[in-house]
Amino acid sequence: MREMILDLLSKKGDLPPFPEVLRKLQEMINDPNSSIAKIEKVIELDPVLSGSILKLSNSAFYGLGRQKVEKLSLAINKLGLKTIKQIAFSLKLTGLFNKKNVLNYLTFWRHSLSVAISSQHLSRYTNIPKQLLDIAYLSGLMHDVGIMVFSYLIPEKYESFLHTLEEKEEPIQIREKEHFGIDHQELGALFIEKWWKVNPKIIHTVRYHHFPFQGTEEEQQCAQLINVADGLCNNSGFSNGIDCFHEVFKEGAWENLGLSLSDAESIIEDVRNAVDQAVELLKL
Amino acid sequence: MPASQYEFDLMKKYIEEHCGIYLKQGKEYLVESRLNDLMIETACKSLQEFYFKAQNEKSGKLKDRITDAMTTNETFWFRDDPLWSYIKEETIPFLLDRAEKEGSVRILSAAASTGQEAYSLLMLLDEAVKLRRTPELLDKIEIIGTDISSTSIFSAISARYSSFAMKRGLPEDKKRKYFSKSGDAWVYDQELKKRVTFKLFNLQNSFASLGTFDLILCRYVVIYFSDTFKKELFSKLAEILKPGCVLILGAGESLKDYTDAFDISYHNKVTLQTRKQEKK
Repeated sequence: MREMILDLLSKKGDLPPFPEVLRKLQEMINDPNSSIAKIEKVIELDPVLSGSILKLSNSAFYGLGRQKVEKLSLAINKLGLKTIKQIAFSLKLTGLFNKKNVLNYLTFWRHSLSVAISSQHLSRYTNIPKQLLDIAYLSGLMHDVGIMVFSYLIPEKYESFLHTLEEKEEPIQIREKEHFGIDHQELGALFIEKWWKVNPKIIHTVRYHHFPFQGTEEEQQCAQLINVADGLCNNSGFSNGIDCFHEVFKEGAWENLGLSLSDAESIIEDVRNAVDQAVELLKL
Repeated sequence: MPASQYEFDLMKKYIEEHCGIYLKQGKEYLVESRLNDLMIETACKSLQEFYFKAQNEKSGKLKDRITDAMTTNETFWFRDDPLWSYIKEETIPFLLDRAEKEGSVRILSAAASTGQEAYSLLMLLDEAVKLRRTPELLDKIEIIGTDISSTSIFSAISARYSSFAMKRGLPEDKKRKYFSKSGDAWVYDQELKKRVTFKLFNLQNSFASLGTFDLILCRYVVIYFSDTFKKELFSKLAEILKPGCVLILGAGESLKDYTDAFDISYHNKVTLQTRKQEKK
């Protein structure tokens, strides 16, 4: 079935395109010659997004002091480009794949967003280089996108497959591989690579988030952070909504990141906060 | 390339000598299937390369990972009905009397995995102290859970369980009484869970730091161990178990051929190992 799925993927069908505003935003943020004014213009073209950014910059999570932020340029200045980018990705991506779907897409995105936010909280306890955090956030958002791709390309087949998962205590990616010859990690990575054009490190993380021991040191660190964040969200009860056996995290990922069990209680608390934050973001 | 007999033998020897795990004849295939992920993780291209890496590592971390990979951790709530009936009717009253008389009682759940055994016991203790109208007795009871895997210990500390894990032996009334739902996970009573301390611990290490105990549960783990290590482990358990107190093993596990520090008795399908008063 692998060939058939890859063929469908190459034709794209009604798989959602990468939001234009994110493409432009990425370009501008990476361009040393761009200015806040230019970035503001790009965001302004999407009134829903600019409204949400303003709302968020006045919210408890991103609250920027007593002074109410009313102008987008001020919000960009105060939140910083990295946060603006993360918010834009969070808001735009979680609006995708929302056609009638075999999955509960709100639960799905609550999980992905929780993993993204948890990865940032979790980084405090690890030795992961700071420059990887942005990649980790976006990887967290996209890590399970292959599941959505499955459910778009072969909805009936994937739905009946999901019904068989309860029978065995085995992780979904193993079952997908047995059943379809490809798992959601690989399918997600191929989809992003072909149609979304984002940083290759993100694609690598999506491809290896369940077994994060391949690639360069940085690629492994990023995939390991998402592996642990994913496991923590599953453990907290905020999985992607698929009724199956969810792994906690890989022992090697926990060890390599330098995590310690003495931080377990505060990590659990941080994940809980990340889930709350994700829920707030999804309300916008 | 598939591993050669020579490589299997090398690894089998390592596992026996360093991890204390004995692989029966015909079980050699387990070496490759269980260690495959670890080989990729450590970037080893062959079993021989992996063997040398394990041989030369100083921290002992890889050794622990190999031990963990070679032992499966399946956990259930209240595993083995006759045993838990015995614990409820005999062991718990014994422990509570002791807590009353001596002021403190310590319990060890060795190889505790994701915590179900320790939390099962705690539910019974909680019910018992309430029935006796002596809830304060619970403060005199300390439960320690140990395991070799950080993943397992993390799960145990979080005390959150999936519906998969909940289905394994947990009676409906206990689920209602001691768990609440959070997302799709079941969360064990957060106040009660504070009464258990979980520690990362390899049973091959010295037990001196653990202190002494009034009850030890060490279930479904010695089954994997070599004769030499079983002997060592039972003698270490005898050292930390107070005289007159009980060691509980998994069904079918026995210490008979390895130590004479315990009296063995049988109670309705349950085998008990009671620490003798005098060390022989």
